[in-house]
Amino acid sequence: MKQENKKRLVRELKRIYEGPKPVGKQAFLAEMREREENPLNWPKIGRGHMLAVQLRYISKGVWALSLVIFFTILWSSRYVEEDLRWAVCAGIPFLGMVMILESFRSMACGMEELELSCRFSLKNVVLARMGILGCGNLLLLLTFAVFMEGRWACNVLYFLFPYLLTCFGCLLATRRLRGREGLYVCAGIAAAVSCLESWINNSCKWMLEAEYGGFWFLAVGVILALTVREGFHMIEKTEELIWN
Amino acid sequence: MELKVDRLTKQYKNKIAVDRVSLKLTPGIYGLLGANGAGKTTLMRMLCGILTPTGGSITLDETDVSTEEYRDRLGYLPQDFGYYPNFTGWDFLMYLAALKGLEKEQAKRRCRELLELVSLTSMEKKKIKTYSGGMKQRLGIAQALLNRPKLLVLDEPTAGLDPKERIRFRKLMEQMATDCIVLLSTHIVSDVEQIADTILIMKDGQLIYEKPREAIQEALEQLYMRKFEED
Amino acid sequence: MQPDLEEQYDKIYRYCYFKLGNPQLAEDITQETFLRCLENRRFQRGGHPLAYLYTVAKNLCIDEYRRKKPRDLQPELLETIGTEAAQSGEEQLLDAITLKMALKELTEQEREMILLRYVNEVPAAELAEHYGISRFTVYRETRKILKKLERGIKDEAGE
Repeated sequence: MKQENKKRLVRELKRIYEGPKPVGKQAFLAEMREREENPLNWPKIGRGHMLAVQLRYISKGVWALSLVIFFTILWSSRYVEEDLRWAVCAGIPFLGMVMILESFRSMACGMEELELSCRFSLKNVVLARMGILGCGNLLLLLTFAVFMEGRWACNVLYFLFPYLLTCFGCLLATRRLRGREGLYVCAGIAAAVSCLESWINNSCKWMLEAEYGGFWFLAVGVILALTVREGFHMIEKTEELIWN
Repeated sequence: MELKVDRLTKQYKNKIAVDRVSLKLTPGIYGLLGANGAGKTTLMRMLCGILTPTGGSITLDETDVSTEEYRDRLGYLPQDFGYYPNFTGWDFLMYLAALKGLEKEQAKRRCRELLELVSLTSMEKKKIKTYSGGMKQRLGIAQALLNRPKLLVLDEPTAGLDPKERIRFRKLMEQMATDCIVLLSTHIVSDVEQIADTILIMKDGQLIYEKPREAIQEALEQLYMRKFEED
Repeated sequence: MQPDLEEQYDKIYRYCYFKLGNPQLAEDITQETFLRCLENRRFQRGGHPLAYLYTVAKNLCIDEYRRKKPRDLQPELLETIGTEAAQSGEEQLLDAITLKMALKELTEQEREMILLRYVNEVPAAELAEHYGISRFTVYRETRKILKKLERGIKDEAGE
């Protein structure tokens, strides 16, 4: 084959196979250059992003359950003449229970060892979950408190008491018990607190009078302190593999 | 790159699980042998920052074991691990990739690559519930490699793998060993015989033997039995 | 010795584009190819980086085929050839069309080899490594394909 012809053919081939121009080349090359300079720092996520990730991974069941509890509260309040308050007080323990159980799901599922060895270790995961669900619950709580009759500050106290009481109980249970056992005990605690609240809201309505505001304030203060302390213990535990 | 372990100790109320173990590890494959209860798992957990030592220190190139930076360069496969109930293989890897700090696009790429590497691509969308023991183990190996670790700690990695999978695993380890410190523990001597560059033997919490494989003349089994009988 | 990223980007892109027919997809795969290769120690130290680059790209393209529903991409690709070329002058237009016709007569493998050898200018040694054949075979085969093309053009022009 003549050299001339070959050159011409190759030229034509190059023209015909030109193809479109790539669009992302410069951006990509810049990213590569950046990587070369900092080999250990491939694009990594920050704490904020990590929070978003945990949000995504909170089991759908939890959101569903929370909604169920929320609507149950609303629905049952229609059947009890005045008392949205009773419904809330009785229903809130279950929200607390769900929060604690979900926060410590890693342990229940056997993922804690793996999560402990990651950069964003188990402690971060648990705190993230607690933070997300805790905020959600508090928001719900406040919403109920505000839209109810009576002084919303008092309402907040009435709601915080069963919520924190349940959280405290569940934290204790989760610390000492594993797996199924822990689950049942937490459910039991939530149910017990729920019953207690029902009793208070029905038979002991006088306790909810304004003059007992001080008592409630104290009670909530005490239970808050206990819960926070227990919470700290639990978080400490998540720094290390102690569940064996 | 060096992992320095200095007089590491773990003491429980009535037992010393790890007794003043000192090591200096450089890139290569270290096989840790020992009977059940010899302290292998406890040692490995401490190397991963999962258990707090009661004495001694661990540093990887001057980075202490308790830091996030250390964990960033660590890959760990526990002896036994669970998973969130409805997770598929893909979900599992992506979740851990996020915890290891990989951002989404990179995580996707890496997960795809690793699933190919351990031949689980066909199973990636299936729930882990449906995986066989060997598949779950391969998934575990994949997650340990997500962040391209410089220190790879594997506790009984070949348990549950069939012969073909073991050969694959061996090849994978050889690839990793060029610039990574690989520490794998087992109580099956033959597993380690072919892969490890250095043999470590633990007994009753102590490191009783440490030598490069080539320096050992006799068959590994014999050595092990001998060391085991010595008091 | 690492190949020049800037230069090879366009070439790998071209290769992927003519395999898949989709510019966006081709670019995604190009970037993925580079990322995988650059993170791989073998690539950085090994002897035939281009061969490896093309192998990774090829495998990723094959994966893409499997992922999407199997379509016969060839007819589409052949249509894309030449339409991108800046067509200045009637003569060039005619040349392009006859060349395209002649290209259609080749097998996919032959077209690929032409693309790599003459358009992307992959060194024969690398191409040999990529295909697992000897350098001599590369020279022989590519020359054979060119001759075939020439014959094909003559036939088309003759009609």
